[in-house]
Amino acid sequence: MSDNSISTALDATTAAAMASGKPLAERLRMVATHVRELSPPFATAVDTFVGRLNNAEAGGRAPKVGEALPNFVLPDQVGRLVSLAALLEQGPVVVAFLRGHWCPYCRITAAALAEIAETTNALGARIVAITPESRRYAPQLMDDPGAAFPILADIDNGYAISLNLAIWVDEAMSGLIAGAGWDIPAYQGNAAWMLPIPAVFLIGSDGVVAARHVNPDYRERADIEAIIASLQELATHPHTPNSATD
Amino acid sequence: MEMQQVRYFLALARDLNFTRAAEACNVTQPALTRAIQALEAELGGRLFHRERNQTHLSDLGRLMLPYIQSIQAQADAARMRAKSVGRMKSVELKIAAMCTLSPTLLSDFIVNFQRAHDGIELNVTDGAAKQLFHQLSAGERELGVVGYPGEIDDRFHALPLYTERFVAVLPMGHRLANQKDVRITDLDNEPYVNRINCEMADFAGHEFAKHGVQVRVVFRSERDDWVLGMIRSGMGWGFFPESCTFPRDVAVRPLVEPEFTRTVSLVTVRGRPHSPAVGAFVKAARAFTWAGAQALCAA
Repeated sequence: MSDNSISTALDATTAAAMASGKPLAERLRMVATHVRELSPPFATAVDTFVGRLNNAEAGGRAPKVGEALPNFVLPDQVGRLVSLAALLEQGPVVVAFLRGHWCPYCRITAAALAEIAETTNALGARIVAITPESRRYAPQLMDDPGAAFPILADIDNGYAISLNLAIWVDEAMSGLIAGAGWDIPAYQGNAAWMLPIPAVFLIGSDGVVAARHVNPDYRERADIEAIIASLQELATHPHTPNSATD
Repeated sequence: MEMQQVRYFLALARDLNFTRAAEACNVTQPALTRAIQALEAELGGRLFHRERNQTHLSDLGRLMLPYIQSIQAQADAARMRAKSVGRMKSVELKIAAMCTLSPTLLSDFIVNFQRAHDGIELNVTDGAAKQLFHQLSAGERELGVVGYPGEIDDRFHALPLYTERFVAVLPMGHRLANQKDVRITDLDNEPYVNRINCEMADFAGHEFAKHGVQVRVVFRSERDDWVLGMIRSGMGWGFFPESCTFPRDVAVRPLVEPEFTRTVSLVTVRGRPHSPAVGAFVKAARAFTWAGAQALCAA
């Protein structure tokens, strides 16, 4: 399969994975497995691409546990400006970088974060997701009329870049993504083919990274249980940096 | 991609000399070389060719140069935005809108923007296209909202927001009001009520002439409310962009064969440093979902 039937075929798998009730890692694996079945060349190209990013230690210089996360001011899905500094006044913040509504792994992760939103709220923490897409795509990233958490538009990846968290998608890979039916330049409004490395930062109310997950292999995401555990830890010992979820 | 690598790459692309680039970045040459190699490993190819004493950009390096330049600008902008938001208190943002633009499509955006930036006071004036471009170059206005049918001068940067069609507005009892659309040949020698400020008139006029259509002007006014009043009272037909707010008792029909459209853009003066308020407005316009008319701004 080399046409945009890849994206169409994955929609059903993504929905099934989200409804499966399985742990996040298994839901993500359902998609990765289906990609490999649909198009072995696509899956192999992803392996090569991710392998190269891993060898180059892409994302290695993103803010680490114990470092402060720089402030951001970004519009949410209804255009209100949200700043990290203002969020931190109310308690710890979970900042999740997602690639966009088109990415099945990101939709699954967004749904998993929405599932834990109540628990994190109860622990006094807030979740925000950041994507480089125009906000008109936010409802497709998280199909939740109650909007469990804000989705912020980081146009042109400006904030992700300033965190050393952006990667360039080379021509081979961007050709495959476009061929699979995903029009990234249209979603982002630029032709740069830059994407954020999927990441989750847990920021204590002091603005310091208490735990993080940064992985250029976008098929693997932060462990949701570990986020909750870190938040509980933070609630009991607010100033002890937690072991990273890396 | 790391900001340090971005800085080193840009210095080396400028100096094409490892020693000079390292000096300019205040690092040792091996450190600069290592960073460039790491960036090359991440991007999957050489960015520079090193030949004896000469360093050139490779094909990949040339391809990446504009992106990497904009990366630095984007990261700087993100940082500046995060810092300046607290300081954007009682800032006035001066916007010039073309007088033929209807506020309907813009008001949602502006209200939204103002809610998010309560420190910014928006001052919107209107005027004809020529006057507006003059105000922008003279620095009297920082941003223009323009739906100009021709080429926009290179001195300006235009960010397209949406396109809209033009319609024929007719008195209720007009013979053409029974049709679902109006071909321009239907309008031959029909009494026409002219909006003096309409920038489309020249462009449309050529098209009408080309189709042998005689335009018979019976009334002219700068004011749309007068023009619409005359149409309502049965004086003739008028030529309007579809986003206008029309009274109930006129007939509004799409113009076809040919269709006339215009693109509404946000215009700034190229190369002029802009205030954070202008930057915030442009970013918000790119992130906004332009409803109604066909949205062009994909960001």
